[in-house]
Amino acid sequence: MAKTKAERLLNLVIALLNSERYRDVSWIRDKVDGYEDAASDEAFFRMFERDKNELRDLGIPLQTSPDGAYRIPPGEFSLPELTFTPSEKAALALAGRLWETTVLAEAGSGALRKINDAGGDTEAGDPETDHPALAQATSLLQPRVRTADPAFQPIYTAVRARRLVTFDYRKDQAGTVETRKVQPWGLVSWRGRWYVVGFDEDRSAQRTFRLSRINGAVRTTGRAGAFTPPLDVDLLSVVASSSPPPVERSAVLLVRPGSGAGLRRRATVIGSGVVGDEVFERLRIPVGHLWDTARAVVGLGPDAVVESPEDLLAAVVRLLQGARGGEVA
Amino acid sequence: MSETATDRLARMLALVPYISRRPGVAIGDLAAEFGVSAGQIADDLDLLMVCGLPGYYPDDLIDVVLDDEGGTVSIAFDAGIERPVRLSHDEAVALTVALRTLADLPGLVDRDAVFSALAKLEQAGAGAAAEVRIAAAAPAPALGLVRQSLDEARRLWIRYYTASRDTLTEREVDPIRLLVTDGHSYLEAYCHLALAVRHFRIDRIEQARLLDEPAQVPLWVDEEVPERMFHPDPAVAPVTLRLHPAARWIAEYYEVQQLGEPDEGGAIVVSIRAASDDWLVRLVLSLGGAAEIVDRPDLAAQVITRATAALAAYSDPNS
Repeated sequence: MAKTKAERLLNLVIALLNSERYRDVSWIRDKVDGYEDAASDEAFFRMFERDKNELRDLGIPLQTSPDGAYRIPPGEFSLPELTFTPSEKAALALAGRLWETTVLAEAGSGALRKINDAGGDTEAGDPETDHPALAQATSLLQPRVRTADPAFQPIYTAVRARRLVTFDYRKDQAGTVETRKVQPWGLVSWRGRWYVVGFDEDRSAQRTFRLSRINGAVRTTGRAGAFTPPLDVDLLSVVASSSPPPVERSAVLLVRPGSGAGLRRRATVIGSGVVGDEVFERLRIPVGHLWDTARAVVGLGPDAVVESPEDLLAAVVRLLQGARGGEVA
Repeated sequence: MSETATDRLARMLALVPYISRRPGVAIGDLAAEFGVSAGQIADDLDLLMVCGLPGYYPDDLIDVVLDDEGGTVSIAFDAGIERPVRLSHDEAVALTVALRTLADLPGLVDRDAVFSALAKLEQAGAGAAAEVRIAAAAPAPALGLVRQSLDEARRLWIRYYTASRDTLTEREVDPIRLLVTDGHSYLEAYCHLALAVRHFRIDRIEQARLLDEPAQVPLWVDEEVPERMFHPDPAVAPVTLRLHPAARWIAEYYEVQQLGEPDEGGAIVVSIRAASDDWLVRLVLSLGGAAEIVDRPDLAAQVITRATAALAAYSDPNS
């Protein structure tokens, strides 16, 4: 019966892990169960090359001697003994469950299991029932990061392998879709949304893309290790600064008493004024992004009237005309 | 089966030390822990039994001791796989990125513990990865008091801004837990005003005060984090909207269901569960014609009426 590949890989790991000395390829071919299936020298070397890469992908330290023999040093193969304080364990337990979906969710729980099994405690138990403080910490606080964007997985894989990606991207809501070719440096979650930061090859410049605006499939192209991300770029601040902070200024408006609770959260009442035959309160509110503020005002309909500044007043009138219909928005 | 040989190898290398530390562990428990079927675990164990040291005499092979009646398993010889393999790249990323995210949540976790855990992982060869970064949640002033109410299990009085109704309400709530998700932190609590469990965005808590009453301990807390923090009124029927390109962001912002493909102008039709009719009118009004209500002519008429009334204030020469 042909041996499964997993069986051959496991036998290779065990053989090299238990060797005091480096083992050359002919020893491996001869002694390790599974390689006898190779029909020719060429087939064996192809098989062995692939196997080496897969072990390295798993983080198994496969060392090569100057004359091309191999071994796996046990000290580097296994996770060293780790001892964590109860509050460190609480932090780790939360961290291991942060990821909601994708490969990272599985990796997080796998990492927790390894750390637990590498622990100094001789008795393996359930860390949560053993430590009430830990159970409390993990039940009172549940952080979660979702990675539901279909583009997350292929881009994460490309970031790891340092391979180029191409995808169709809609820059803004109304914009057309363009194909972008990007060296993906890394992924950032900012205000609940995922972004990829990288180097846009066609534009020869650093760019940030929101994953939810990628249309269709992400294609990975070219070889692995095609680029080196710059060391001095802090991805989080790149994304944070890509939406520039608005100029802080204030607006004055008249609001019907009792309405506009949202606007009033950051408002100061500075007087009153008459709208039609009603007395409204005069509020001063901070204006962040002009159109966001305008939308907040327009949502209130006749319950809010802008007095200043001029550009906010114009924006509000334009939105109201659009909502009324019959005129161009 | 889509599993690769590498995935299977990783699981088998983890199974050996896991079982060794828990002699007599049930196969069903292994299946749950490793997220695969019991049949897959049985196949893995069969495979482990034929692997071992070169020579492959009976004493060289991994000795898996199965108790078929009890459905349990132990390991008598591990062929050198005593300890878990070092963290893989993905595992290191998952854990270190998550820890750094926690460190950015002031007041929620013991930051010193997070940093010392990170340092220990780094010593174990799992350095912090820079390729994935997360800004977990914007800071909110009420967070400290909310955290205290949870720790002391005390009832909390809050003045809360409900965006979906554009109102401020005062409520007494019994805190259950804190959820940090999608860029915001939420207090999950039993609300004595709504008489139900609700999620309160911490940055919308205008004011909070600890009360002397102890919080009622919930009988049962769902382990899972709910998919949505927003509780649409089941009595309110979904409404169909046409979103022109300038309003398509609505589909990214709110829970909507897209109906069909975009038309040639780029407009999409979506079904949305609004918190209330008033909220929907405010939303459509604020979009200035970029969204239209398709199947509720009464609400569409309200939008036009309110827009017309509002415009009257601007054409008034006195304003």
